Amino acid sequence: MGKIQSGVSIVRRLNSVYLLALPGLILSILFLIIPIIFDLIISFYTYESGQVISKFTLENYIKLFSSQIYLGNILYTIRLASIVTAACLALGYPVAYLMAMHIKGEENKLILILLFLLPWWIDYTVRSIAWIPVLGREGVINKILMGLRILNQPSGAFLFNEVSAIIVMIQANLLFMIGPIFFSLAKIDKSFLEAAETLGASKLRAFYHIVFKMSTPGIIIGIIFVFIAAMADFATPRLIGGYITTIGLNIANQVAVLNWPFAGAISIILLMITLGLIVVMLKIVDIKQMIF
Amino acid sequence: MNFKIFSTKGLLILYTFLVLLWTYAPIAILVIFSFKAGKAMTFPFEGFSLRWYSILLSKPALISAFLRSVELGVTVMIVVIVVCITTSLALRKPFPGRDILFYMVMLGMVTPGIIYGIGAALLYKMVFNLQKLSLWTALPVHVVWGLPFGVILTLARFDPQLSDYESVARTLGANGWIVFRKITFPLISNQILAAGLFGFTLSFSELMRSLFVLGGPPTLPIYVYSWMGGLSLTPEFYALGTLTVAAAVIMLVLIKVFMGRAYGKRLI
Repeated sequence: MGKIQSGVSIVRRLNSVYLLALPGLILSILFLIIPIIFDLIISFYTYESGQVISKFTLENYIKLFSSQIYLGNILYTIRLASIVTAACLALGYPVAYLMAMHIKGEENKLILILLFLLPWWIDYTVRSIAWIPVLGREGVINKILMGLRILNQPSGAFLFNEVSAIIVMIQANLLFMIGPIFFSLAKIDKSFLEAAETLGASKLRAFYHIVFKMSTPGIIIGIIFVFIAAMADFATPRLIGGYITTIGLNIANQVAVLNWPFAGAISIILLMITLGLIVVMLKIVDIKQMIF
Repeated sequence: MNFKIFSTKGLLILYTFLVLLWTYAPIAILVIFSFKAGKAMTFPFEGFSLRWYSILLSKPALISAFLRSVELGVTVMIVVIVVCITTSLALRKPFPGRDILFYMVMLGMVTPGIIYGIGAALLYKMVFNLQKLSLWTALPVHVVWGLPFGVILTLARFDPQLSDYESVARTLGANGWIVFRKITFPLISNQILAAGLFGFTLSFSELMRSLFVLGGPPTLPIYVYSWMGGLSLTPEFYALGTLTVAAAVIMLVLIKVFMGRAYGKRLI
């Protein structure tokens, strides 16, 4: 009798679980999975004299892979995203380490996290224009460099190019490096460090073998977040990057001329690159262990 | 005080301070420039004025764009809250298909938004045969963007202690609904509110997932994006930027209050 009852309650629990899962499931299928499928379908359509025709073609992919320009753009964007990611790691790791190891109290940690959330939260345009008085010809950097007599005349080398785009992307995405690293560092049992010290390990050795190794899941997730955000960004290159040709901007430009098939093809390649990165990274670390 | 500037801790604090300075200096300059009387956006700063704010507020298109963003953001917030509750409750315990649901919900967070902006636009065109996009066609696209953040925030709250409280309530004879209403919901309510505010802010400033799926008059990010395309940068932008920053700060303070309360409760 007891067995039957628990069987019934398991069935009931599963039913209610699936019912609860339904809204999230339907939304995810309709607005995440199906859009990807449509990107894929449209990428095989034909674009002729401003019209999209439902005729199968591989033209879009051939164009993408045979053109020096688009291949170059893909490699360029990967390079750009790598620089942004590396810089975020260098800037973010010490901050995350400080938060996890030295800052006392949940409240102070939360405030620091929120402080790094803000730049990501204000929109692209605001974030971008904020740097113009800093990086422009008449800007702060030029004034300082001229004051120090490093420059004789104002330089336009800091604004509306790769440099300013990278700076803004770092500022925007820093939280997504700091956050995951902080969460993985916070899980480290500090008695491990004491044990290492007692057993005679040098500080550097203890740091590498305990702190750094245990924070790799956070580093990996941070890399995924920042790299992908930088790869796909089309607003920053346009608004403050002087229209440097990232693939995000390529996609937006193709949509602007209503060449949906080619935009779809570039999107699919972008998705492949990001999913490839995620799969490789998740081979190294189990993301679920950080959340459940 | 065992605080020394040349200790590891001292150096780390200095480093963090410099990173924060680098992050916030441009934002501070933006705010300062918005109150500047002159048109040139250069130093030195001459004269305090609200001129750019009054010019900004005299643009009806801008006001309507702002209101549309708020309208969409609030709706996104409500939907995110509801779906976040159901999805997090479903994901709490293992069941066949949990991993699939989890990865699917997270997909929106870890892959580029532009893919979904374009894909959803195609879905509307090709399947629903929608000739006219509206504000509401962007709603679900924004919801699947805010949802994963909310779900992660909420799942983190389901610790063993919370389960203990629930099982105590069940032992005392409460049914599932009562347990949810009296125990679970009050304990996760702060996370849920934070999730909702997250959803609002993400939607409010979203461009990539709006540009191709939103019809009719533009929302604020779309309006500013097309305005800025003209490259006629005037101090009104700085006034607008300052208002956006102020709104973001208010949101963050609210989240701090809710999350702070949640952390406080955890200590009980």
